[in-house]
Amino acid sequence: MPTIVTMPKWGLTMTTGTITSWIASEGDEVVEGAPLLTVETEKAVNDVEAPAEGVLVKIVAGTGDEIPVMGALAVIAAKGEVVSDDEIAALVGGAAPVAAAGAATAAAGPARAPRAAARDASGRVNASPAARKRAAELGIDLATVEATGPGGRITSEDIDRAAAAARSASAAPREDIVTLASGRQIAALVAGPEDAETKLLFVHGLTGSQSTWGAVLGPLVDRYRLAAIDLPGHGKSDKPMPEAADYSAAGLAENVGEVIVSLGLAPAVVVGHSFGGAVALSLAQQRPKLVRALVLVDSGGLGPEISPELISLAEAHPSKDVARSLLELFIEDKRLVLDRGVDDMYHGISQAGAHGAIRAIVDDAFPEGKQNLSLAEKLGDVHTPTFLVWGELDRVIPVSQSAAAHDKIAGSWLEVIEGIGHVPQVEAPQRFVELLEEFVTSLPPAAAPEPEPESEPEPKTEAETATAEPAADEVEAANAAASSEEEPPSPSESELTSNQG
Amino acid sequence: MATATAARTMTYQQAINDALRIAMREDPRVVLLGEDIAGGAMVDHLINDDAWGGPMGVTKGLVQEFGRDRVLDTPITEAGFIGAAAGAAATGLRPVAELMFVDFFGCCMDQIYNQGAKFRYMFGGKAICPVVIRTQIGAGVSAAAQHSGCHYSVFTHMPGIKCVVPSTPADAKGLLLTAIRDDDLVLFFENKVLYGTKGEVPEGDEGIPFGVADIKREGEDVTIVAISRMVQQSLAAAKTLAAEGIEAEVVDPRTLSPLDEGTILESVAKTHHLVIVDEDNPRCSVATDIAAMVADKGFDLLDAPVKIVSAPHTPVPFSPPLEHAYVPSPDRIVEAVRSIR
Amino acid sequence: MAVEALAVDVSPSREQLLDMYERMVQIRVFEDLAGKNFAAGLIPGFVHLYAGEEAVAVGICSQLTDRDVITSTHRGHGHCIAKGVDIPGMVAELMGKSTGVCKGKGGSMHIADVERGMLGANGIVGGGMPLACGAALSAKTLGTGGLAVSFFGDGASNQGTFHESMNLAAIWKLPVVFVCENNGYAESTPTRYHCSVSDIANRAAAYEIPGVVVDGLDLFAVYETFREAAERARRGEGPTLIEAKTYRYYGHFQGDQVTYRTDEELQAHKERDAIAHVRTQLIEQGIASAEELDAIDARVAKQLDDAWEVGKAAPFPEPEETLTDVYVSY
Repeated sequence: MPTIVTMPKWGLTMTTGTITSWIASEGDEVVEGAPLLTVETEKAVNDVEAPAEGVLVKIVAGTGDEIPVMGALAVIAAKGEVVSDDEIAALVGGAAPVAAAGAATAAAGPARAPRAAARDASGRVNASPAARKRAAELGIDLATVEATGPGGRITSEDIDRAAAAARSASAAPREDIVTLASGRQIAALVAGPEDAETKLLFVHGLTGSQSTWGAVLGPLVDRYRLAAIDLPGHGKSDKPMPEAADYSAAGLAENVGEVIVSLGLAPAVVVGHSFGGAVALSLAQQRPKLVRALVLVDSGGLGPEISPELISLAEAHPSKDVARSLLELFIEDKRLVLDRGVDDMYHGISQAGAHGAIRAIVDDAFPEGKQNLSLAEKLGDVHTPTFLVWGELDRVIPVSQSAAAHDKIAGSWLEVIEGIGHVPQVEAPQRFVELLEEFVTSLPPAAAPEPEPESEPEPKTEAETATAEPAADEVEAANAAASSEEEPPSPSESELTSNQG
Repeated sequence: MATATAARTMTYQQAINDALRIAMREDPRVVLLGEDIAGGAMVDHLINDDAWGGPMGVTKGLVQEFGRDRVLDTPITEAGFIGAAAGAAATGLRPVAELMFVDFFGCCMDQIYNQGAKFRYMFGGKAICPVVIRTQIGAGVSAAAQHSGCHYSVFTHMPGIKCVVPSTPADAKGLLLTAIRDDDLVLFFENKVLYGTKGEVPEGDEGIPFGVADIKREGEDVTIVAISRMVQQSLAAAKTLAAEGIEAEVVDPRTLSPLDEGTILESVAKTHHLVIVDEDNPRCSVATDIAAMVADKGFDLLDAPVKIVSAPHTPVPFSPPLEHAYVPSPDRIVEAVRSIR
Repeated sequence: MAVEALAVDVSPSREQLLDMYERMVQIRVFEDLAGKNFAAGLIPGFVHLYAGEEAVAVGICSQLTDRDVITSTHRGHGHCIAKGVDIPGMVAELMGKSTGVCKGKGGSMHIADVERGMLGANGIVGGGMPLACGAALSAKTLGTGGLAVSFFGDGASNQGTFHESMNLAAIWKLPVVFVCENNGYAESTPTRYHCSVSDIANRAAAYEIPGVVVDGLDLFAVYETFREAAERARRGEGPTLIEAKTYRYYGHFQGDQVTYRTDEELQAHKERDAIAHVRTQLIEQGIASAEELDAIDARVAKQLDDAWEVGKAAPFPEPEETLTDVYVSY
């Protein structure tokens, strides 16, 4: 059975990719994972790998072609397999580009083009009884709905389609700017269904930006409301002078808390990478009601060790070499350090105000070449479900910190991904997504968002939640036990740990 | 439907014959009355045989097994023998009377609706009237204006009467068994056009309960409630519609009184569209009754007006092209569905 | 008590006699062709044939005019022809054609021609007798001098309408004659089973009106018996019940296997065939020659063949016709 090579979807907003060059040629034998061609998107240049072992029998898209996501690129046959032109044509024809987001659900029956709904002389919209009821339930204004029913009547299907369109409109990725109380602006990429139960907030690390999450947001966007922010001093967010701003993890956490409230994400599963993890930890202590769970990825804030090379690169005058060195420090597989990525990094750290901000963070967080924060012990006070994800070969923050933190944080999950470095979301995005989803689906249901969270947890509410939901009860019990005793009760922990399978 | 241990293929009329035979074997109080249901009474060579077994042969062979004391030929005297059946039912027998064509109800209606159907109520619940009146309905064979009507709407209107409208051989057998075992007055409407249709019929003596509709075809896009032969017409229409991407759900109420409102409403809740196909005349009919019921209890389920495909407000014409225009056709059903989808 | 009518009283004129002969032959040929063409698939629905009973319809209707009204039965073709309904129009009606006397809407069982005083064949056994009472009431009230005749079968004599009509006509002294065509069978059921009396005419006694049994295979006997009953009715003395003992050659309907009677019984009746009897009488009494009667036979044969050819060529009604004629205005 021949295998078709299609245009991958790398980023959340990626709809097409342009072929910059073919690495392999027709007739080449290829192994699974071998780079076949290079594709450029708005955000990156990447290799497309062979999805199967075999012979590259046909290339159907040439250099310079712009191909939609899931569009056909080439055909790989098993060794010795004969594939006719007709079969290739059939295979290629079968590879359909993904439908545009928000496409109308295909209505059964004769296609009647949506059109403005009919109205009677008094202006009353012609809508069926079922449509009126459904519109009321979903809060859809009939006046905004197009009709497909005979005579311009709005049907319940029309309401469902309008509701889906409204959902996908709000779910479509958009670049948002959140203005903080201080007047400073935070850039955020916001996407996913607004009514999703689980909301995810992604916080990058030192010298990074929201783009670090590009490969993992796409697979998550259908099921989760999510936002990836640029921390102050990074990406497209404001970069105030250090004298005028608080670049400590606690100070940045305050900003992140404001963003969560402003974007309606509370309580959010906060995913923090590296120094972003330290910010997330800090937020969980400041405003626990905003944080439903923590996912700490090669995270800061858990132990003293930190790469001296990172500190010196962060303090060095920004250049392309510095940018490349940073990426090579972060990423174990050098093939993943693309020129385009280096350009991005350089652009990030060389922007006005960026260097000052980065230095301020280094000065505050890593005095004397050590991390000055160790927040793991304090997590017991706030009972936040926590997942530790680490790259086995991390050269920035050693993997040993993860095991130590796992011991300290009662009920926490730990997953060490073999063979990768400091940036799992870039080096092992598929595995990262799987782990994240596994963790998120194990969480007790989200509590209703608090109008304005207080710093003091309200025991009464916690107790109610615990009583209402057995899973929550177990987490509660484990965390409560951990807060009063040295060691967490082993049954609960082992049960939760075993969830990782 | 009952889980059948075994089934065999038989016609609608054989299935009715089968049910009558089973019921007569299991209960000696079951007797048949009707005009020429055996035929040839007092003819020397037909003492233990029938001349007709009913005008369509539906009761053929029963006189051989049960004799002329339990398969009673009557004079052509509908008021007399239908009334006698009601009287016998109130006093110990369980008669199955054959009103040859439903159109003849005019000859005996008083005995049905003023007498048999009202006994129980008038007598304060102290009487039963376990009589089944089997009768032929349906146009399609040019039997003309006085032998082709459906008229089940007339009977469904009347309290004290149960109305049964089987559309398949299996339903005919199971529902007739239930009808005979039922303690109320039952009108059992046999569509003459269906007599020759074949289907799998379960062996054994299991009845089909009244008031339980059968979904003859599942679909998501439109509910077609169809009565008697109109089930077959609707299934044919559903095939055409399926080719256009419209999946029709065909609901066969099987009994009009009692009526399984729940199944109809559940189906409409799924499809939001309702077409009712009824061969009876349209004014004050079962179709309008179902439409009213859904408008009342399922108003918010509807995405389109309820459509009724019925015979016109005319008697049944004789000439084939006129009769063809009279009977709801698959084409008309398809058109009705298209008009609301 | 039943009274045996005289067998022969040739009061009608020669012209009337030849006309009666021709009508009887028309009925016979019409029915034989109807049977044949039903089998050939040219006639939809049910057909009940009158062949064998011609003397009753003709013996009676030959004494009626258009102001007189008859009601008929499911076996109504003979009454129609005897009453003067257009034969090509009847053929077309049997075929369901738009040129039929009822535009194809009624068919064999509901064939009618109100202008000819033919108030319809009838699909309901016993359906016609009350209608005849009404026609008689009209004639009496309006003073038309008209008469009503209700034809019905032995089976219908068991319906309530028979008894109710008899009583009503008697108390109101209506100008109506009830003619029971007793052919021995109600569908497949012998009269001796379904009827409590040996002669249905006996039932007249219950209403204190004359009840007469007549040999329905003898045209002249029927003629004379009816003449007396009609005169009595027109004089305002009320109804008469005539029971004409007759026989049908075909089954109850076309398709009936007629297992309930024997070939011997059928042959015995065919030996007393009503048309053969008239033919013999006309020749023996010197009223007509065999050649003259043969010529009538030939003319009728051609007339009926032509009627069928015309009928076959006629169009079916348009489907829109389904919706017309339900009301006068609506």
